[in-house]
Amino acid sequence: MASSLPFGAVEFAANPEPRCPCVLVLDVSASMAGTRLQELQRGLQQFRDELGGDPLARKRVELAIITFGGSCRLACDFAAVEHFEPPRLQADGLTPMGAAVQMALDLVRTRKQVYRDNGVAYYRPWIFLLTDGEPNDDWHAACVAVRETEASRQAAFFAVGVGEANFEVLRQVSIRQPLQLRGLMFREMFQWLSNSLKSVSHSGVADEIPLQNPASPEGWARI
Amino acid sequence: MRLHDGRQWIRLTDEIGRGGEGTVLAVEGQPDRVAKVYASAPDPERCEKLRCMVALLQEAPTLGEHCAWPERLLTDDTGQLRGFLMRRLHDQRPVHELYSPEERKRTYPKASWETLARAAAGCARMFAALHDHGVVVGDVNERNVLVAGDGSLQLVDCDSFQIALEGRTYLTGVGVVDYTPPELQGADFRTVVRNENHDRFGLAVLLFKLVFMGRHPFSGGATGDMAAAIAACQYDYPDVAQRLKHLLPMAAVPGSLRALFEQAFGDPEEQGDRPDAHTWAVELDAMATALEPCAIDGMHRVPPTLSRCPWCLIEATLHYAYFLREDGDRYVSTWSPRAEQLQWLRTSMTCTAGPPEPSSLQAPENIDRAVQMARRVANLGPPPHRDSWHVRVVGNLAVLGATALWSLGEQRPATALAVAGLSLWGMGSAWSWWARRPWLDRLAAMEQLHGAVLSGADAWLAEAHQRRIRDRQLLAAFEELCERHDAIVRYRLGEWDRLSADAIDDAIRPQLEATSVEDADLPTVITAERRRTLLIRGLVSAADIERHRLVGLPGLTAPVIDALVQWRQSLETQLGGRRRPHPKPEQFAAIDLNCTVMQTELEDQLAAVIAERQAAAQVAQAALDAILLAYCENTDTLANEGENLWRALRHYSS
Repeated sequence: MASSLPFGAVEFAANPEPRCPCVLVLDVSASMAGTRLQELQRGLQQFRDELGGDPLARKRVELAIITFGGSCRLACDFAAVEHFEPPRLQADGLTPMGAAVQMALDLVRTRKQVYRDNGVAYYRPWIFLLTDGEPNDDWHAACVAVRETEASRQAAFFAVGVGEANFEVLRQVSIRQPLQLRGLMFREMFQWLSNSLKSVSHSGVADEIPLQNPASPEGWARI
Repeated sequence: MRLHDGRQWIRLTDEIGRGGEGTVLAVEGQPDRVAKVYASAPDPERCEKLRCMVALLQEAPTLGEHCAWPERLLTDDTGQLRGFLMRRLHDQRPVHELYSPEERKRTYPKASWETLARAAAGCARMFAALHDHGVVVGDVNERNVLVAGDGSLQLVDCDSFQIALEGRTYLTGVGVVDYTPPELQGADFRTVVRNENHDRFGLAVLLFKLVFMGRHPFSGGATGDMAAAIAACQYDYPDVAQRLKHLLPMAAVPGSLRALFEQAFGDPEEQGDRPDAHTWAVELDAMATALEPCAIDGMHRVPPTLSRCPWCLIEATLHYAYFLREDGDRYVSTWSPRAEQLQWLRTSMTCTAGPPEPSSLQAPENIDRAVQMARRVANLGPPPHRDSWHVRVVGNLAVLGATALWSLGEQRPATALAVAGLSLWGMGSAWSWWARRPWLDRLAAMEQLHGAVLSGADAWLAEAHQRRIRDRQLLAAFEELCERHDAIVRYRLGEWDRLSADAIDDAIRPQLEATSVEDADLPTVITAERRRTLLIRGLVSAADIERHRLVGLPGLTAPVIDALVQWRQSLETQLGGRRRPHPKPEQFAAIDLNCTVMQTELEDQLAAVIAERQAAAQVAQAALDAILLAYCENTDTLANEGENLWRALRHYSS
């Protein structure tokens, strides 16, 4: 091939803003079926709309979605918010959380290489894990990988448990205190996430942003 | 809501905007004013700062020209300061919507590179006006600078400016890393006292983004960490643009601007103070004035420092237009590299199955059994002469008896017995031979079949190999055609270049050619050695001094090349060659047409190669299938016949 352009060259020429990648790792195992999944789906839509309404976050935040239920799947590869369309979620199968977390780490690593190839700066990627159960695969390797990634500040990892999620596991996977969703406050959770991503994307690359406490009495989470 | 502005009570109506600190509301009866009202009552420090700002505006009314400066303070009925009145800015958008290429094409479709350079100059003038009064913006970022429809710029969030009055300094308290100079990276924004030199860094970043298509001068390098890159003064856009040919090269701006950027982004200890806002404004205006429309697309602006339009070049390599096309009497090229078509053909070729791989040969199911049977039969060998044994013994006895009778003188019966014995013996032999013959025939047939089976695989492989050689030839031919297709992009650029160059030279070529490099009064950077380099490379007259012929020559660094090109340009100006006749649109159209014809011809040929490969693969498959079928049949027959023969032979022999 004659072309020596890096992958995504046109995308980054059209919009050279520094990127703020965020991967949502969503549990869609059979136990999520019903109201939970519906609320999650609504939350996602609202999340997209909120971020899309911010002129700077719209260009800087890039979203990807990995779902795990039965198998783990890249439901949506990285796309700037303006090009992001939330996928239709379907609940099925068991909870291969370890594999999904590994997949998210790989996805983030590859994406950062794309940024570097294109000479575009980036913010510390966010990986946001949401689960309501107990992993049925080997999650210890994922645990080590997350800890290494956090230690080298390669990505920030957040874990949120819904309902009867196994918090013992979440505490081991995430360095940050895992949060428990109050009821089905998915929309409040995504509101918090979009506000946090907005303030991150308005700050400079590598600024430390004080996040709003999600576990305050009116927040969406419990510790 | 009702607040007092120091003279009268005013009513605040619709909410216009909302930020972290409070809301911006419309003022009833005052369409050109808005009120910023803090969500919670500001602290005494902030109140004092706002009073100072209002006082400062009284002294220097020009401060309000470029920004939404607090004009009057607003208090509630308890006398508590709640906010301030400022000028209302209409139809303004944040500056990042102007410098982001894709968004600019949507919101400012008519903006050219010149527009961006002028906006940058305006931005510098705006900073200059504030700096002249000792005001430091502090929190420089892409959201605080707004652009109006007419291209004029304004600063908002003025209450965050750093103000010094009557011996007190009111701090900004916030900041954005991307616009923060190296010496303040990592500092606590809440306590840091800024100066004008710090502001100049943020200003330079904004200007850079406006000129260089929204790219930040610091890419963040291997870690993407911009803070670290700025702290380490890794101003790496020039390197990134060297690596990525689709970025606007530094050579697109005049050398003086390049030097200013280096001064602004370099190590502050080496570079001293950064360029001030006035210098930027002058240089950027000069740059904008020198730009000329490109002959190919009127929206492209070409700097005099480049011999070829950088935007045409980028469009050809990236296939992305940084500016919308201007339609008019200029030739608007609709030529495309047809990369999608080529890609599609390549994909079709990849998806076309070639002849079967030699490794895909699967041995027939019965091959082991067949070989085993053949071996067993061979071990048994042909059957012995057994069936005629009794007859021959009787015959032999008869002959012996005849000999005995003969010796007793009984000649007649002896003769009869001998004849009978010999006949019996002969009959026995004949019978034996007769009985063995079908076995021998079967064995011979078996041997032949065994040979066929043994060579069956070789025959298939030989055929497959032949077919693959032919297939490889087809693939190579395909690749060569693809390369020729790819090369058309370069060919076209060369032709366009030649056309533009010819047009430039025709009027004054004789004079340029008469100016010899050997004797000319060249710029001082051209040492004797460099002059020799030019002469050795055949650049003997001013007409030969063209940027694309200079690039890459030993000892000719970018500034030297710039100096040479400028020398030639000044010569052209002296000779009255400044107004160059543009090539005619139809000349460009003819080149494009020619390229398109070549492309479509190549695509037809490529499609033909794909079809040939498909057909060849089918023929190969059929031929190889026939060989394989015979091979399998022979193997099956050998296995079955071999087993039968072996059993029969064993039975027969026992």
